[in-house]
Amino acid sequence: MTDLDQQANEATDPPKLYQFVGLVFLWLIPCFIVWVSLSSLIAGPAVWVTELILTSALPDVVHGFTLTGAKALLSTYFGELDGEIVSAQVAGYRLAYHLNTQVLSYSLPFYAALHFATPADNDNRDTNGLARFGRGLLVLYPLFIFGLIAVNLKNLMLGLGGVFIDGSSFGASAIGMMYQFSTLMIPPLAPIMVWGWQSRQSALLQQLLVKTVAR
Amino acid sequence: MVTVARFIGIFLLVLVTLFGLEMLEPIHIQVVEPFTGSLATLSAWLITPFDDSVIAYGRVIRDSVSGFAVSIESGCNGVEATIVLIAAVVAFPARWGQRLLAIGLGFLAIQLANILRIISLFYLGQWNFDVFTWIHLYLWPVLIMLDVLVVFIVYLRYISTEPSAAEFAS
Repeated sequence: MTDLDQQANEATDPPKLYQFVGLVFLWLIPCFIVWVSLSSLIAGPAVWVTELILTSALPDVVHGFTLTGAKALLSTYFGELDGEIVSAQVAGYRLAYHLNTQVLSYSLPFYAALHFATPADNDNRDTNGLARFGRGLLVLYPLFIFGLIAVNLKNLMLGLGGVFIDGSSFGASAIGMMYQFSTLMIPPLAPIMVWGWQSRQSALLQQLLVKTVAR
Repeated sequence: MVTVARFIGIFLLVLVTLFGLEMLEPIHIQVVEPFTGSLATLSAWLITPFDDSVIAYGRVIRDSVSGFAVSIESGCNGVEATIVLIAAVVAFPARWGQRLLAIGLGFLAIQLANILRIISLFYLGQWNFDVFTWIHLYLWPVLIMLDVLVVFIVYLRYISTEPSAAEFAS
């Protein structure tokens, strides 16, 4: 191998592990800035779909699910009077529950940082980076909606108690598990899984993981 | 031949099983809560030589001067990150000795980052609560999961020359 060949190889070598982690850190900054700037736009469709699902599945419980900035509000057909859950008409107001959509949607800038920190290369079957990025978002976005549903169900369970649980087909344990999994596990883990799957053929992962593996 | 699909299947199975176990009330009370309390105690012990106004009780770390306190809750104790690491290590073919070593050292790496998270949040909260909230809710979960990813990649590189690893194919 000539010096020129060696220099060319070094120039096209994927980054080492510490370089990749550094790149992810750097990409996190603009990705988080864009995510904060577009938080309402990002959450809008998910809140709309969540409202459709919840008002269809729980027509006697959920009045609406609206968005202001990145904060969503789930309003119910119930109110509280003298410590008892009663209908909103009797109470004179509706019980409603706030939800910070960003505690679920931060998976999107995290995935974006992982994606953009991964250099495009010919070893990767899918060389169209933007299309790959779009497909990654298409996987993560339904998980975001799932998270919104899970957190809302948890809020209804804790807020309305027996009025909600007794009249619904959801079990308290199932709601608790859904809530914990969709808030603790999915937002930080799903981006890595999607990125790992999409980049499994890339020179970066081949080098970062094991040279003898998956060849 | 071990495929990526099989890796993902075993990973998800172990992940959901361990997560479900963690959520069981007896395990939460007998294992998770005492462990979380010990994290608070350890964090306070590490801070005290530099700041003697810090006290810990239960899962709470408190500054006796400012009155500011943080309570370490589920999601902030590194248990979920450890579960992710265990699931990934178990799903990848290797000798059990290697797996146990990876889980043990990985657990230490995760808890090191986690204690850094607890201490940094404790002081960020006293400085600016908005910054505390933002970093607590969005940035640290990402960093902890990146820590898990790095530990797993280092582990895979370590076992890459093993014959069992060479069976892994995409």
